[in-house]
Amino acid sequence: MSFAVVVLLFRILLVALLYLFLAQVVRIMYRDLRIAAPSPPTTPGGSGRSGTSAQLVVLSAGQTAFQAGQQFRLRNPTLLGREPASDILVDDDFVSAQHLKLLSGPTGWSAQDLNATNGTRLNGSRLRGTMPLKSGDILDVGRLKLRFVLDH
Amino acid sequence: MALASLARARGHEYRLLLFVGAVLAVGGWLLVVNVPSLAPAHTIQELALLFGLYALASLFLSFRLPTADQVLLPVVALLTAIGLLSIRRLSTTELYAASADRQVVWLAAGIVVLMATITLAPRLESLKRYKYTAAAAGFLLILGTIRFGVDITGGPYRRWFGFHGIYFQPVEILKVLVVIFYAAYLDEKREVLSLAEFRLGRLRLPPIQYLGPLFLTWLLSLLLLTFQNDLGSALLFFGIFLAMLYVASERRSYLWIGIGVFLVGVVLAFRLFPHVRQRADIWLNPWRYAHDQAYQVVQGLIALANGGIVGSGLGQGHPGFVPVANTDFIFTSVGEELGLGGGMAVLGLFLVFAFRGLRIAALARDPFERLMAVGLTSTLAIQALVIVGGNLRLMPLTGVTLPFMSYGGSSLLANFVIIGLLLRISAHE
Repeated sequence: MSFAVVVLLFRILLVALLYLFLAQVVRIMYRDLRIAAPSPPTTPGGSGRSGTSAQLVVLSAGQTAFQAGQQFRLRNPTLLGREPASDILVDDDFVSAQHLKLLSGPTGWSAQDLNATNGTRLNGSRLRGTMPLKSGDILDVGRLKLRFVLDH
Repeated sequence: MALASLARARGHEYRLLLFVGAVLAVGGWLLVVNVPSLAPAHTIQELALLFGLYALASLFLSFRLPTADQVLLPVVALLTAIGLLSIRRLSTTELYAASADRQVVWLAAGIVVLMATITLAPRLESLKRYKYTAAAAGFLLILGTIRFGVDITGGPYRRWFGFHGIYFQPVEILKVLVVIFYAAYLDEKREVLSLAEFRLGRLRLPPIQYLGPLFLTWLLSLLLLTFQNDLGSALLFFGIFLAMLYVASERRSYLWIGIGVFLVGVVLAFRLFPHVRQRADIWLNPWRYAHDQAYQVVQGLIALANGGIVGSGLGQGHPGFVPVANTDFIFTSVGEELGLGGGMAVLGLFLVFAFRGLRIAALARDPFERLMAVGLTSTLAIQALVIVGGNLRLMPLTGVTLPFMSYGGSSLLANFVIIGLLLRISAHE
């Protein structure tokens, strides 16, 4: 084998090594993604009564004294607001006295805006009137961020 | 025993660094064989030194920050390895003779800076308090450069500070300062802003707290564009700001507003300043100016064409024909000698870097750290995009460095600070 061929092989090897490196990196990143992915919210063919019990999980507490990760089991209906009679008392300047109502009907849970001054965001867009909720939805109430989770 | 357990702690990094070692070995051998005028021992020593430095950095991380991201350091190592191979190869051209030795010194300093950043910034929240200091320092730096700086290319635009033969590019430091400021500012205002809105008739504008820094950034970009003819940095700072604003506000409309405002600035600059017009003209009609202003771009295109798909082979092309082949045009050096294959791999590395940086942001615990990670990642990603786009004539050529590959001390040091911060953010004890 002539020397020129060896040089050629090494030239190819050099670029091939770059791609081998990239392939390794992609493999690592793929594995990381698999680990980081959340488990599916509902298992198919689970309980017959399709998710009538649900909870709210605090994602970020804003001004309130809640802890991130804290959970609230929902009653039907559940009222959120700043007034003491609320089911979940949200002590935040951006929250109205009666801010938001969560209801469970025949079609499942829904969120109802109670004409709150600063409104509620459902998955980032303004909640208007009553809108259906699905497990995993994000609610922004004032500076509080909540996740709605159906039990299964 | 201790070493074995360390290797297990950061196993991915360790294995990926072995690939970098293999690239350095094969590349070094090709250089020695193909470029007889290089001193073989010297070349091999410096490549071995580079590998040793990364091994040291990896060991340092194993002790100091074992949970930090394991992909970032090897990606950076490979980029600098390809860069150093190209710069060493170019050192046969008289113009670039000294740059390879200097680059090794800067790389060593960079890795020390990386470790120092990780040691000195254990709690990033403390940076929040210095946000206005960072912003003021940034503006002073840029105004100072416009007033007292020098142009090492002999032109009229002052972009460097000279100090006894060492030239320093303040824009590189400015990148980090700007990201710290925006991250702290947007984090502070984020809560109020998630609900507030500023309406102008039917148009929904960002609230005034966003418009303030938006306007300042716009001004900074225009300042860079008009007084320093630095379109690259102008684009860079605006891009960083938009990326961070988008992440902080989670609203796409702000992106469009930002792009609109930028376009207005560009049109104004195009109307007002001849050098901006000239730059666009060179971009659109490079062949008309192939022997003067567009010489660089045209030579770069010829080099890339010459490289073809597989490249001419390391040490077997003529990358020295392109002016500033070791800084702004290093991508064409790689493209010529390693071909389309090598060039795509380099772009792949930057892509992986961007993906990984944004992943660090997504997993960050604290919103300030998240914004920092987004800003720092987009800084390097946009820079790579802007300069490679310029090299390939996809957009007007702008004089920013290709991160980790181009020759240049200030750029390397600033970029290693960025990597240090990203590693710091990625570690969850």
